[in-house]
Amino acid sequence: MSEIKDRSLYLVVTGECGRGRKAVEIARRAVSGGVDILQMREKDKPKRELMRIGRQLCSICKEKEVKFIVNDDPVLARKVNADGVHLGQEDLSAYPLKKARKILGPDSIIGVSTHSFKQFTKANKEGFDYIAFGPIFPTKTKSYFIGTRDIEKVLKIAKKPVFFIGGINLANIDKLLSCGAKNVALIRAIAEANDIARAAAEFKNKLTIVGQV
Amino acid sequence: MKILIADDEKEFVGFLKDLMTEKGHKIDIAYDGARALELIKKKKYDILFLDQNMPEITGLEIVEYVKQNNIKSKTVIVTGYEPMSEKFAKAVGADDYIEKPVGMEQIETILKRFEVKKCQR
Repeated sequence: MSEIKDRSLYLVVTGECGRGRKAVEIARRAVSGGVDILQMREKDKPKRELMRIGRQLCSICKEKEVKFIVNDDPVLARKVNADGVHLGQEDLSAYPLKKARKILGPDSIIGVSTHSFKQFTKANKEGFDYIAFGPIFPTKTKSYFIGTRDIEKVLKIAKKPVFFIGGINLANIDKLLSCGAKNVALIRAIAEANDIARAAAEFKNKLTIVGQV
Repeated sequence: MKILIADDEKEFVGFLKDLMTEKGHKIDIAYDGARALELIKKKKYDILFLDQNMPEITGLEIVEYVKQNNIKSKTVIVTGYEPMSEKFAKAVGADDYIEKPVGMEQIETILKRFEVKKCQR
């Protein structure tokens, strides 16, 4: 089983966020800055294009031993030789955990998005390899946010690593870490930074420093 | 409390529903204005959370219906950022107005406020 360690920095790469820079360019810089896990999230591209980008991202990640995850589609994840798949709540009817595991094999990483304590509790019982919980802070992509209050509650019951996501930036990450968060997932704070590698390194440093205290 | 959530954005509805059911409230859902109106005519609600931009019938039109028909439900207009929305919401008599992205604590504050008012009635 491919295990996820705590103090992990997770970047979601999407062509929509990156100030016009391509996913491959963002990934290359972010990986050099210290990202531990990279997810390809491209919602509106044709399958052939996804295969091409996926293979490129996979090769960038493998070079630096970064875990590569594909969003939504375990079949595509297998085809591009990804380490795993990330499932949204809306994907679970087509690909419940068992089915996704069957497609990808027992050593794959399968993560899931949760947006409430109720969803988290359910996912936690099911045996996903990690759970994303958020949005914690206001973000452009969601019409709601959970806030930091449930973080301790979630961590108390979590069986696997939890990635907090949504509106996290260098100005508010300390608040998150002070609540006990060990792992974060980011999109814009890294992909839209002027210096992607430096932004990734700064976030990674934040996670590592807290781990050493 | 009995609450109607009327919004065409399913993920947002799921967020509100989980939050409210966890607190013991009874929830009905409508994904468009016409269905919301149908439910309001049939059932009594303590609070109506109404998205302004639903297909067919808007949240503000529902507030107008509620006020004209002396329905006792409290009304909360939910919108994305739109200039003038708050002014219009107040003009038609909505009891509260919130802008997306909406925070969990913001919803809890509204629920508490209306719960206290309900007890005082």
